[in-house]
Amino acid sequence: MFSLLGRTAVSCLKQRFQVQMLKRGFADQVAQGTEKLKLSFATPTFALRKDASVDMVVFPAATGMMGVLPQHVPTVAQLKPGVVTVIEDGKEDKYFVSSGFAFVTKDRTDILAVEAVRLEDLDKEAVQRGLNECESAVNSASDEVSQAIAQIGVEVHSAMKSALES
Amino acid sequence: MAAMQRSFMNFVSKSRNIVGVNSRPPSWNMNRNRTVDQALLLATENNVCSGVDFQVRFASLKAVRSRMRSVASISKITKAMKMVAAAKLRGVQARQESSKPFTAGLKSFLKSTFGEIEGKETSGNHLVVAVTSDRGLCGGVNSNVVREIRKLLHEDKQNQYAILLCGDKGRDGLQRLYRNLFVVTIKDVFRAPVNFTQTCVVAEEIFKQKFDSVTIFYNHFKNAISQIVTRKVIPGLDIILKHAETFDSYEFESDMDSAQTLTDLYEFQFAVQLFDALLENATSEQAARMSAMDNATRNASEMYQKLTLTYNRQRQSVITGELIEIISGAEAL
Repeated sequence: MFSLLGRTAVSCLKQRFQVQMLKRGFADQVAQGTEKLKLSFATPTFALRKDASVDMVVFPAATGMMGVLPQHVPTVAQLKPGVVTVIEDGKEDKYFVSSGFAFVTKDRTDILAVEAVRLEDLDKEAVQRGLNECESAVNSASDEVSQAIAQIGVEVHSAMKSALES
Repeated sequence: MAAMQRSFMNFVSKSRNIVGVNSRPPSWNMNRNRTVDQALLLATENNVCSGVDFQVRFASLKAVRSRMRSVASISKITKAMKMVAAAKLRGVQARQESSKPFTAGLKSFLKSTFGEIEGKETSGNHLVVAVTSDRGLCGGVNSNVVREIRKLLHEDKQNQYAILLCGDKGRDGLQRLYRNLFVVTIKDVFRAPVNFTQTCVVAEEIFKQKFDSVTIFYNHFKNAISQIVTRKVIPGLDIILKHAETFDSYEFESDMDSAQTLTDLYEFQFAVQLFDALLENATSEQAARMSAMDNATRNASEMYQKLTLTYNRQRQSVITGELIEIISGAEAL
């Protein structure tokens, strides 16, 4: 349990660090690249991007924020609750995802998220309320399963909170 | 008296020709004085076993009318069911279309990894998942799935099989021969629109079983008139872990060890493939029900038209008979 919290804290820090790194490296990358990345970003109920040609996509892998450009090495990444940023012609679209997998292959990138919402659609008060509820559920949990469920709730809500704040 | 009876018989036989009756009843008692009405009824009783045609034509007015009423109400019910199925089909098809990028996103990855592993081992314990509907009147979708499963179980004698049922109709079809192979029956899968969370629950039930590979039988929705039974084979987790080197071309970004990551990936892709199968089968069920109800409505209205003709013919013959009776009675005076 503590290792889980510790891991979340470390990866949060790593996340912020890496995002800043990427932000610094942005201008060079966009200037160089003339190819586009073929992206499919979908949930079970609807697709946010379907075979779209984008410049870059940043998603929250379990090891930290990961940016994918065209010609990325083939990767399978497990997603953590966090923000997916799709960069198209200089425009950034941010979406909060709960979990899922991302598959990067030679020709295309597929991000399969279980739930995804636009960052603008998240309600700050509701997030705070959810976070408080889950934290109290963690403390009052009777067995391991419900404690694990509550812990997952805490992770997702704190990710939402930090996504809204950043 | 005899002369009167003879002339009466003449009129009876002539009237029988008018109404198009062309058979002689076997026991026609010529000595009793009956009205033509009763004569025809006697003919019906005697002719009851001599062919469907005669049965329909000789049936009494009331019987034909009640049959017409029941056929009309059946056609109304089937028409309503067709409209409901058409509306549901639109809804489910829209959901299926919008979920296509999600289910298709896995395909290229799966082909290059799981596809390689799939051919390697075919023996062992197999779990057959039969995806069928809970309610009937949906054409051939359920019987096609049951037929394919029966064929598989009949042909393949060397492997061990277990059957997991998703939907009641599969159970009804398979329980006579393969009841001992049933492990779990899941009901009401398609009551609410298929969603991913519900699919994960079903997938968890499947993971509780031990197997070397899973075969999912479902109906693939090609279009509103064509639904094809498809078979999807997914190797079991143990086999995937045994051939883990197939995944070496991919870098794994995960904060867990490789076995745990592969397990997570396996469970995720399984849930996605099961979601695809359930959604396709739900769409196929509605399309098949719509076309079955459409056929039923058309048949019922055809039957109604035929019955109307019979009814009119019958009505005319009754009227003609009464006229003849009156005329013959008047002549006798």
